[in-house]
Formats: sequence, C-alpha cells, structure tokens
Amino acid sequence: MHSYEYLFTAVIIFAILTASAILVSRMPQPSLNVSEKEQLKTAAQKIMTQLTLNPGNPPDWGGNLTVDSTDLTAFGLAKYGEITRGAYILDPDKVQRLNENMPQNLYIPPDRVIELLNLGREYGIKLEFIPALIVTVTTETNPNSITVYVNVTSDRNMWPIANANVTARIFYLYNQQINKTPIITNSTDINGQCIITFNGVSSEDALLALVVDHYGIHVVKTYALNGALTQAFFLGNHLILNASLSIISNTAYQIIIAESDETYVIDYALCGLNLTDSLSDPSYSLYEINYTEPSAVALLAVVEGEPNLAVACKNVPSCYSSISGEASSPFIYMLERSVEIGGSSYTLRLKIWRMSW
Amino acid sequence: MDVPIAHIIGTAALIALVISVTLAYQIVVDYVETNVLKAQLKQIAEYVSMNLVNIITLTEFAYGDVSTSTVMSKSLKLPKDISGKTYRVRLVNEGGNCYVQAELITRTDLTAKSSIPLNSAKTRVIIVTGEIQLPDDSITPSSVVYGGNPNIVVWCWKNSSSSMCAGIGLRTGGS
Repeated sequence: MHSYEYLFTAVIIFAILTASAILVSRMPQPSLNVSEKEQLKTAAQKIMTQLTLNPGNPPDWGGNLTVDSTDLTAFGLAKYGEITRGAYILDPDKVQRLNENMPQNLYIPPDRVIELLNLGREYGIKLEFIPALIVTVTTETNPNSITVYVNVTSDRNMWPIANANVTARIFYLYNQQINKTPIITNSTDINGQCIITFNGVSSEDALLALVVDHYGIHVVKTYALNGALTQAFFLGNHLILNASLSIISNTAYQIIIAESDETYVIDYALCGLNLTDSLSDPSYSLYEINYTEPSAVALLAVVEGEPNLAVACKNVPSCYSSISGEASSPFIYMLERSVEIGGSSYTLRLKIWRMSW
Repeated sequence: MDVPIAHIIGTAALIALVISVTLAYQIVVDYVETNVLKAQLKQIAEYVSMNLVNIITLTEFAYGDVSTSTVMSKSLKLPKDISGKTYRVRLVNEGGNCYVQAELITRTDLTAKSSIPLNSAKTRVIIVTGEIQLPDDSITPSSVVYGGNPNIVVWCWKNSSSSMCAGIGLRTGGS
C-alpha cells in the first residue's frame, strides 16, 4: 500500500463522517418542526385562555385609573362581574388601555404584558381585534339634513353583507344643547349598502351612533361628524379630556345602545361630572362621572370654544404587538376566538412566535 | 523511510482516524438526540402548564358556584416515556414566577420549562409546590410526578372566599 492510498482512505473515512453527520442532523428535522409547531399551539391556547377568560388582577384594572402597568399583578382582558360572568366577553376599558394613544401611565405596554404572562424573552405576541362586520360610514351634510351611507362587508373576504339591519341615530349640538334625531332603521341591499337620511339636523357638531345586526352578529359603531372634537377618552366612570378644553356646566350625555325585544334602543342619559386632579399627565383633565350606564358606548360633552362638542368613544385598538411592524419569524402560530367587546362582536387573533430556537 | 515502518504508521493513523470518527459521530448523534428529547420535554411541559391554566381559569370562572369542599381536577394523558427514557414533571415557584419543568431522570441537565402566565406572589391563585391537605382525599398533591403514571392530574381548589390553590398531583390508585 502506498502512502497516497492511506491518505485517500483517510479522506474517504472523513467524507463518510461528514455525510453521516449531515444526514443524522437532518433526519429528525421534520419531526422537530412539528414538535415546535405543537409547542407554539399549546402556548397560544394557554395565553388565549388567560387573555379571554381571566380578568387579571386587580380584576377592575381597566376602569380603575389608580392602577397603572406596574400595579398589575396578572393580565387578562375578561370583563369582571361580582355576580355574573360571561365567557369570551372582554372589558372595553381593559382593551382601550392597550391603545397607545392613551395618556402615559394608563397605557399598558406590551413588554409589561409579556412579563405578566410570564413569557420571559422566549416568545413574542401580537393581538389583533377584528370587527366581525366591517362597517364603513360616509356622510353628506346638507343644509337641513345629514345623509349617511353605510357599507357592510365581511371581515374575511370583504364580500358585501346583504340584509343586515342597520339602526342609527344622530346626536347633535344645537343652541348649546344636545338634541337627538328619531331612530331610523334600514337594511343593506345586495351590495351591502344602505342609505339613511336624518332630516332636521342643523349642526355638524354631531355624533352618529349605529348598530349593524346580521343574524345575531352585531357591531356597534360611533362616528364623530366633521365638527365634533374627539380629543377625549371614556374610561370606566371617567372622562379624560384634553386639558385645553373646559366643559360647560359640568354635565355630559352618555350614549347608550341596548337590545330590547330584537330591536335596538339608542338613547342618551344625562350625567354629572366632577373635575378631579388625580391624573399625572398634565396634558389631560380628568372628570369623574357620577353614574355610568353599563351599556354606554360614548360620552358627549359641551365644551367652550369652537367646535364645542367633545366626543369620547370606547376605542378598540386594531393591533397590539410586542414588536413594531409585521413579525416574520419562520414559525408563527395563529389562534382566533370570537369575543364580544362593548356589545360588538370581534375576532380576537393571537399570533405567537418564538424569539429564539 | 523503510516500507514496513511506513505501513505501521499509516495503519496506526487509519485506526486512530476510525476511532476519532466514531467518537465524533457519537457526539453528533448525542447532540441531535438531545435536541429531539428537549423538544419532546418542552411539549410535555407546555401541555401540563396549559391544562393547569385551564383548570385555574375554570375554577375562577365558576368562583361563586364552587364550594370550598370541591377540588376541581383534570386527568392528564402523558406519554409513558420519551424515547425509552423515564422523565418527571416538576412544578417550580421561583419568587412568584411559576413554571412547569419536565426533565429526564437519567439526565437532569436536560430540562424544558413552560411558564404559567400568572404571578403567584400577588394574585389570589397560589401555585402549590409544597405540601397541602386537600378536602378531596382522592387527590394527592405533589410537586413532582413521574411520566407514565396514568393517574396524573392538575387540580385547583378554592380554599377560602379570597384565594385559590392549584397544582399537580395523583388521583388515588396512583403511585
């Protein structure tokens, strides 16, 4: 045997080792991928259960403005009731506090949620709140009337929803008083559209409140018209208003939407406001409402200046994520649940991914 | 160099190479096996923690209806072994941060953790990792259970009007 033959044999042995090592490491990869996907699925189910069925701690943290993100000891979005509890009914105040437009100390940042869910640096999450029906509203203001064009489509494929019942009412400011139009109902046509005309409305300082019901799936929408101000938040039994505005006569109108005998009632209730100074953010004034209706969806208040109607709606954020932008991890598990937030049907979509493997 | 000496050196070098290749191959196989076992352990840990969260949520959801003498429990279906190796599941509470840890008995360095998404220090749910006497004698709480036991349960008990305890354990008849 010549020396080059030894070398050749060594090269072959080394090649065999390399090939075997590559094959062995690749062999379990498909089952590992399945296993990792299963882990994500289980983790997603666990987090979804916690989010949708647990109220968190303290249980009233949504509307309790003394609780900031550091005071939270458990995170959950379920609505809390001492006597009754509903499954997959989320608290609109808790959901609102995921909105980054909220005043500083009231916003719950995603890294705190990750910490409260005990996920460490292992996982990233993204929540999406998708209305069960996509309702688009456009308005046309005429000298003595307002015409509302409502377009209803499916959340999945944007197909038009025909025969959806639309119940609407406009609340408008006239002579420093909040007035209301009669309730008007209509149904969407084959293109998912309907037109509602409110006669006798002489002001653009107005709020449109409407409910779209399609065989039990209902969506509540409040829409501030051109003239109305929206620099306000309605959280628990508090009105948070831009500090540059001041309310006339310390009263407000709660807009209530309730179902009664398969029809919807849209009305207002007058309530008193007390200015308090317990909000640490100096750019906002905090008013305490003396009584809050459970089904209140918005708050109207007459303020000094022009325009002089302030509107505070319960805003549901469309997205809440631990990273900015779209997650692009190779393994993202997505889980959806149908939930109800403030009388509206939503799909809560949870996306979860591993930060490292 | 003489031809026989060259042959001896060449043959010895080849034998050494074969041995080192075998060892290297074994290291690669061990590494791959470790990854597979870790993934399986992680899956078990996630399954247990998910069920624990579910039973806590269910108990909390029915808080007003459940009496203090009722212990809610759910049987878990865990594999007998992982690739022929026995394992155990442990509940760990580190300063309020609770997690489920699955580990091989023969290789304690090989563990996988799954967090329980609640802080046990300040909430009304206490994750029990020590001893506790439950009103239901059919459940024996234990912070460690061994895989393969068909009687493993997760349980949750509303022990007073303001707090709940939860953990893992064995249904009577288990070992």
